[in-house]
Amino acid sequence: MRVKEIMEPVTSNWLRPEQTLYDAICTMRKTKWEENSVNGMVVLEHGIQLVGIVTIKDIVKAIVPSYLDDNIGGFTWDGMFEERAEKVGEMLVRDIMTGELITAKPDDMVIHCADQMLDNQVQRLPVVDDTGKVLGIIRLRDVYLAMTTIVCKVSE
Amino acid sequence: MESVTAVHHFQMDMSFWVAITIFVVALILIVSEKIHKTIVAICGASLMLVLKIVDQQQAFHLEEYGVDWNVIFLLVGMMVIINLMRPTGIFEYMAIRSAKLAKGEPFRILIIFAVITAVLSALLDNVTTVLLIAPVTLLIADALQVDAIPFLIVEALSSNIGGTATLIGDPPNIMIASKANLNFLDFVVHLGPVVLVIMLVFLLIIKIIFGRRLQTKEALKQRILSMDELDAIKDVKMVKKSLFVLALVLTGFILHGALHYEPATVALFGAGLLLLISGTKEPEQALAEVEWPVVFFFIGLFIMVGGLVKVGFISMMSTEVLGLTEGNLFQTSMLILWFSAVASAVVDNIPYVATMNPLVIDMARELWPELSGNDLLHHKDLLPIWWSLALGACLGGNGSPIGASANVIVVGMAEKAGCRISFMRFVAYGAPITFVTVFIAMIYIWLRYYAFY
Repeated sequence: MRVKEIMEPVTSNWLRPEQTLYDAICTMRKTKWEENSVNGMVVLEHGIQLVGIVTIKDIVKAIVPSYLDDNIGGFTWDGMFEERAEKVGEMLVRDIMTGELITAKPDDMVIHCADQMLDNQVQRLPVVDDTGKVLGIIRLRDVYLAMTTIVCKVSE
Repeated sequence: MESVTAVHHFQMDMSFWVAITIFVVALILIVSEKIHKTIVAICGASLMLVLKIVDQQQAFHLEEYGVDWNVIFLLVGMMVIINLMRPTGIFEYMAIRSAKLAKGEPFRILIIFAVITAVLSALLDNVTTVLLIAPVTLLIADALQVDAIPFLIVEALSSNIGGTATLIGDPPNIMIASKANLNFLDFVVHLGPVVLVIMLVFLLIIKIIFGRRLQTKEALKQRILSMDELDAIKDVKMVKKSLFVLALVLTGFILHGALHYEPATVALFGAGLLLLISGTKEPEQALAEVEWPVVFFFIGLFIMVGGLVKVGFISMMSTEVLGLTEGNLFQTSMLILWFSAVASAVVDNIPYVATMNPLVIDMARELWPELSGNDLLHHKDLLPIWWSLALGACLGGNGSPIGASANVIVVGMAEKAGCRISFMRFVAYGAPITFVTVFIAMIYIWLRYYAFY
């Protein structure tokens, strides 16, 4: 099985680096793939060039302030979550996205892709063709769903 | 400690120009930040060795041409102690407790944090102090919904001011103490009073600038008041052990002159003792967290400056300086004070002081060729020059965000937390404060060492 068979195609479902997280979070909530709202999106500059990826993990990370280290982690207050959430909304996609990505090719084997996700501890890889154009995104969940269709067919 | 006197027989030959070229190129690279300063220093030092400007024996074993191990081991020893103390949470406990004592009032917290930072910086190194205080500051500013930037800038400035007061407070002082064979009490007696005055004036300026601007709601103050500072303490036994060792080390510093120990001996003893009684079976972490890049930066610089000394560039410069002030030592003091302040604001004050130390010694040799050892280093007319160098180099660090390591750390942490301090915003506070503080230092030096003689 190849990546292009199970990836989520990237058409209008991408983010711009200069977008606010308010925009980005709402876009992600509205965008559905396989009946679920998506947990991550690629970030494209000028609609073509891949510059990063934003996942819900990046967004949750942004809500936890950088100064909460081991020693003062316990000093929080009621309302901190709500205040931080509003602040996070004002941040830019560029500030929290993960750059320097590992990518997959549309003709890569799915099993190779799965290996890469596990090795690098990521949940999704952008799928890029030889010219650098982003075609889609493949998620650990897509790999799992592809597995279930094979496994469940056998058992049924 | 007798300084080793080397015979000067040099001319402006090939090695003279090679040494200067290496040093100048290294300095440019350090300022440009294109390559990490530690890499530059190691490469520069190894070039000095490879090109035989200094040989390895001299670089490793002669204080005059090479590494000043007093400085290195004092730094390493103190870093190990701090690395063991930090996880205990004692510093965060102090900060939260004092914020509560200030009743959550932002301006009072600003003042108290400035004082805590200054005092801690006098006893620990500045970078450690701001690394400890900045996270708590960001937390409190968030809780009170006030701008964290004034707090952070005030803390960076306080740490440089406080650090000026003692031998261990700031790297320039550590270096000067070792070269000039001055002890902990010398620094407290000569720099303590002026730092106290400077700190008071600084707090007054803060009051004028921020006294009314920092306001918050009553409800938000409750957030601070409802925090339990004891939550910060992770290991009560270790707090007691480390406070005991810290007290012992500070006593050691106070007495080191009288007992004829070098400060590095005291610091290493403290580090060893705390490692032992901490009961840790794995010293790796406490040792790995020593800021080795800083340590190697020092090592590299010492060797590079050693090259400059050996080819005679430094003594040539010292003759120039004396020529410039026509041998008038008051003018020389003032020149060094102000020049050091400006230089330290623009470049790292560590390479600056590493270069100035041998220059001052050379100057002394030229002025009093018949003297040597402490008679020379502690000549009553030379002492004010050492203090001018220390005051200029330490206080000058406040002039810009890159003037001192503490500033760099604060700006970096602020940015990570999402409140960017622009270069100009820092300078807007830092430069005027630097001017005022150096001006006070100037008056002090004149009054104490020149006016009545």
